[in-house]
Amino acid sequence: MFEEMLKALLGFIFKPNAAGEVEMQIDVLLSCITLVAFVALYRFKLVPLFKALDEALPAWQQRATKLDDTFVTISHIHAIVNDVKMQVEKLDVGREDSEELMRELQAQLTLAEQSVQSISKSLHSTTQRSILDWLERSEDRMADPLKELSVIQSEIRNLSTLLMATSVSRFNKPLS
Amino acid sequence: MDKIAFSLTTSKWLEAFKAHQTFAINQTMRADCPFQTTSQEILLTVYDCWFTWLLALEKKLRPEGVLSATTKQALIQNTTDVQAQCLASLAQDPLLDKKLKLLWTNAYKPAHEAYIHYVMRLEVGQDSGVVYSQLANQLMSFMQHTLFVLHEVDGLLYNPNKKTFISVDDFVCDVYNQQGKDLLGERLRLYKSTQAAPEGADWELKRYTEHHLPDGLRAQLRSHLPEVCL
Repeated sequence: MFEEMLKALLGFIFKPNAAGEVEMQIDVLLSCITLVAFVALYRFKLVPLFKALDEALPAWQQRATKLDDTFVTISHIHAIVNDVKMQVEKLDVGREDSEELMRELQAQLTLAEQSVQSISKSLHSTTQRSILDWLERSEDRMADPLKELSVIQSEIRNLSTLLMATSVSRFNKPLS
Repeated sequence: MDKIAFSLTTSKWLEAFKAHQTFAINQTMRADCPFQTTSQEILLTVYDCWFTWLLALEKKLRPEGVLSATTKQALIQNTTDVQAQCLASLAQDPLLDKKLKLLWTNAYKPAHEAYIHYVMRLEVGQDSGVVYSQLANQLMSFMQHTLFVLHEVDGLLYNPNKKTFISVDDFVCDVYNQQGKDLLGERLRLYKSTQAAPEGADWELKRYTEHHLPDGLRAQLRSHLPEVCL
């Protein structure tokens, strides 16, 4: 088939004229060369290129999808960063408030310490006075301190046992 | 403690014991959870036996200022005898349900032994009024425990449609803390071994104590009843 085509082409290019000489048809030759060049270009360059494109297309599609996802992620990250930024700004404001509160608390603590000191001073002197009074009053009764102590212990014991007996309602737990 | 103070204390405890007895009997007659007649009889007998014991204790301790070793020994014997007295008293009534009586006796026994153990741990030389108060206080806790145990037994045998339950109270916690004895586990094993509780029953834990459950007891309970929420 190729030979026939070659013969036909040569037949188009070289034609005998009326004098019996063979003439080369330049225009036909150029057309043939162009055609062959086109065929060769198509066969050896374009066909492999198309094949390579077909093979590369799914990978490109995948990459394009990943790229879309990346854009979405980036926009999320952007939103989060904005949020964090706002919170940090708020935190700064809160820290300033806390510092002020701490200063107020410290001031109040100093005041409270002063109050406690003055109260304990007055209480101490009152308690001291009461103890001295009590000691003076009980001087006679404390002639035998050990006996007195044992009486007090016994009284406390009696009271505690009686208290135990009077608080037995704790055992009256209704059934559930 | 002088005799007047001792009498004041013991009278107060006897009054408290009787008040608790009234409370417990009233509980057995509640419309929402009425006890079987046998259960009520058991409870009455138990209270009677322990009240007699409490009166005897008063007589024994009154002449002594402090607890002597001899009195303590006699006290341990008296406390041990109470169970036999209760059983003898219950045996006199042939109409009582034998199944309930048997299960209750087995469930009550470990608690009674724990109380005897408590008596054994009393310190010789303590003031008799203090000893009486300690024993009466623990007895009240024990009586409360008895009511809860009877409720369990009665419920297991006569309310099969109700959810099976086990109760934890102050006495159980005290006994575990002082003696390391797991009364809850013993009862659970008994109920399961005698088939009193249906197999695969869904158990509920009834808490009658405000105290924190001892960790060991909690672990034991979890091993017996993993499904129960503590």
